[in-house]
Amino acid sequence: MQELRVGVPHNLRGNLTDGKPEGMADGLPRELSALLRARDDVSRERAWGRFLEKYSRLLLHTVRTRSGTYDEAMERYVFVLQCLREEEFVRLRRYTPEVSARFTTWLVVVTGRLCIDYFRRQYGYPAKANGSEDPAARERLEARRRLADLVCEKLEVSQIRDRAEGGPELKLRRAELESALVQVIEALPARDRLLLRLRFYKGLTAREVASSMGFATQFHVYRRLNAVLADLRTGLVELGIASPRP
Amino acid sequence: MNSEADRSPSPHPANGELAAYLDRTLAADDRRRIEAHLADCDYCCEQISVATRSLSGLRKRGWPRLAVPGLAVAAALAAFLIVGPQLGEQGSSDDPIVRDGGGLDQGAEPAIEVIAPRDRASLSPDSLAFAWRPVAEEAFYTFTLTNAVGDVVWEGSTSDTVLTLAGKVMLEPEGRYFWYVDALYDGGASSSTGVRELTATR
Repeated sequence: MQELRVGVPHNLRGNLTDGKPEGMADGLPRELSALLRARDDVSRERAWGRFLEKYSRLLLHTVRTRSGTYDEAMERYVFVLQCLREEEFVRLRRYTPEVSARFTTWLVVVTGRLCIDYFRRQYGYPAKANGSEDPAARERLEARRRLADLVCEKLEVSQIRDRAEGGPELKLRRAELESALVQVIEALPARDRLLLRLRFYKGLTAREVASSMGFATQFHVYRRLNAVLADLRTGLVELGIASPRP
Repeated sequence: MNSEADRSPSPHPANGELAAYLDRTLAADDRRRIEAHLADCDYCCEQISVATRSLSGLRKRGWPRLAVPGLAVAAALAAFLIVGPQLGEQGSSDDPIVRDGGGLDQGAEPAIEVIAPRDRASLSPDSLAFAWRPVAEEAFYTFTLTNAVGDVVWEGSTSDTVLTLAGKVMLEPEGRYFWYVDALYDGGASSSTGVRELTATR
């Protein structure tokens, strides 16, 4: 019998597996398949109940990952369930065997997206960063300032921790520094920009960054961060930013 | 109600692509395209962040239930078959695998060239020596040896490109084993020899 080489599946290392190995003919997780194949209201409700038995914990965990009170999380949970049920589960029907990701990962992504949309419907879309009213814009500014502090540590920049203090000239120098920082960040490769964004703007831990971006370990994340920060310092020096001192 | 993700056409990656990015099952070009978008899109980056935190928390709680790794690998290995005419001194080294899903592969670096042993070699326990060509000046290598069902028999790290397991591991006579080397580069990229096979002799 001639054997054919088909390669080694990506999950050789024993990564989390679910759904696809269930052995359904249509390649979908059992609960999802039953739900999408249900033909009448009774069987559909029964299948939806089984689907929630299996995945409600994942949905709840994801909606609670975002900050907020318990009640806010429950409101998001209800919103997510409503969205998933809409138009005969049209969103769930978008998961097909052609999607190369695990169903649980896909469902987490979908749920997270719905939560973001819910938040934006409630509170509006982020305005341009002006540091005044918009919490998201303020958060970005703070993240940028944290990054600026980190980058400038070794440039012997004075540690301006309290931005309310310092005279106008120092504040102006600070603004120049942050403007230059934006410029050098934009010159970085996309992967390095993403690394900075996840670590400093989204606040992911090094371990989470490693998991998300495919670094081998968190130590590889630290190592790459050090290299990127060194590049940023070099870029700032080339722009003439070495110190906010007059 | 339609979410932002449902509006079409949309410049944002589809949910399936983002999920595949997190599962590291995308091809290298697709992964780079997604990362280029994520680097500049707060909306999608927020989505990735939420999903990463959620998945991390779920895994800490042991959910979803892990498929028994051995069974999963056994199923995978049942599909790992070799083209008959390709057998020879070079074994199957003409297509060393640079994996996406294991989390180590970045796709941009060349695969590791194996010096010895050849693929599907028969080795005695006294001659368990592995050698490969260096891929970068500061690469760091991890070596993994598993049995036929995927249980790790031996695993270690080295900055060298030669590894001897003689006396370090007990192999079943005529047992079938699989091994691979991953190279970790400065910057977090990686490449691999791909999974290779050996048989232990008496």
